[in-house]
Amino acid sequence: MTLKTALSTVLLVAVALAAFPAQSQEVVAGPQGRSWDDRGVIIAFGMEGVWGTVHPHGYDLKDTLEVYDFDPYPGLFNLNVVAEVLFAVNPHVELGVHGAYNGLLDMDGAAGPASLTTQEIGGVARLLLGGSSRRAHGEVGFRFEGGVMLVDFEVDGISDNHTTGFVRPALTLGGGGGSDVGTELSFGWTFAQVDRGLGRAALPLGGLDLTLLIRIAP
Amino acid sequence: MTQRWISCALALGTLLIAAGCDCQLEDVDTVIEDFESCGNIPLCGWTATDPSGARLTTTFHPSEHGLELQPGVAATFPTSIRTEEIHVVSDCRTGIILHLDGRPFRMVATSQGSQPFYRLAVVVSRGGDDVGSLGIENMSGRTCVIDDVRSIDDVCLEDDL
Repeated sequence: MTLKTALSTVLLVAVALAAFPAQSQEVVAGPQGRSWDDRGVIIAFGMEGVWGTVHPHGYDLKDTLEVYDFDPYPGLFNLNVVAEVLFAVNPHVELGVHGAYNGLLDMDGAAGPASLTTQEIGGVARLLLGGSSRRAHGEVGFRFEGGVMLVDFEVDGISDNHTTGFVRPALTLGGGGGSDVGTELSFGWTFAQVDRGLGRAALPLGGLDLTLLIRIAP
Repeated sequence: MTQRWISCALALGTLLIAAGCDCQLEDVDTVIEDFESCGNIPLCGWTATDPSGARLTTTFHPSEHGLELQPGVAATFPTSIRTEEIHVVSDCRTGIILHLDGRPFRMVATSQGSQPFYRLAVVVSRGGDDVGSLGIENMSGRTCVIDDVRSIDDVCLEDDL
């Protein structure tokens, strides 16, 4: 089974869970008029669809790829793996750590086969407008991810590694309310850039980001 | 007897015309030099007018190499090609002069605007010229990197029919 097939399978399972959420065995009261006592850990994992990740903030990479006969618009849509551990500190705030592995680009050109992969390690904050509990996942809010992006730009089998910061603000929508297992869908935008990542020029990364996570509140 | 010769000549002519019709002209893109796999060969086999003004360097990635020329320096490479157009990649948009068997041609960027690297091109002949020596001269006034030297030529490819 290829990695893409495996990732697609996970995405389908996530979508199915989102469409048919598990029934609640234990409904935890929300914050309305009650004291909130549902602090705890949330584990989230899933898929991240990234559109236009390679050069939405500049055209240095596009131009360079073009003169070297690579596809100038690579990686228009990629599926990436995301894992998070969060802690619900109050009805409106969840804080945690975020990790992702992104295989962004894989193509051939005059300079040889090229691939671009990134790994993200950082923090995530989830701010919920209505306030909620770990298990009542039907909320709307904002996500802010940020941290360090490890970038490996490999051409013709030779790696060029860089480290850069990234931020990703997003709108988020929870699904599967009341159960231990829920889903979260978020739409965001990634900002990241490797200075001088293309010899003399910058390597811009980022773009529209669609993330679907399965959330488990044990 | 004469009639037979005429018939034979007509038949042969028809065959030649038919053979000509089976031929499709297509642009063939040939890499003359990409400055990779040079081993220990100094300047990848190129000869510079000033050896201290030329060196191999990396371009947009550690795996990708080119020939760096100081202002006013030219480098030549022995070759044996038939070509209509020569293309190179360079970080200099203007001031790159191509020399084919001593004849100079000013290379022109195929795109506008500021870029890290440009594709430069020049049409050297309609119908193709045989070339024995290819040279590149840096008249830009600043240091330039040259990479991915290619020849474009129309080649007669036979139909599969």
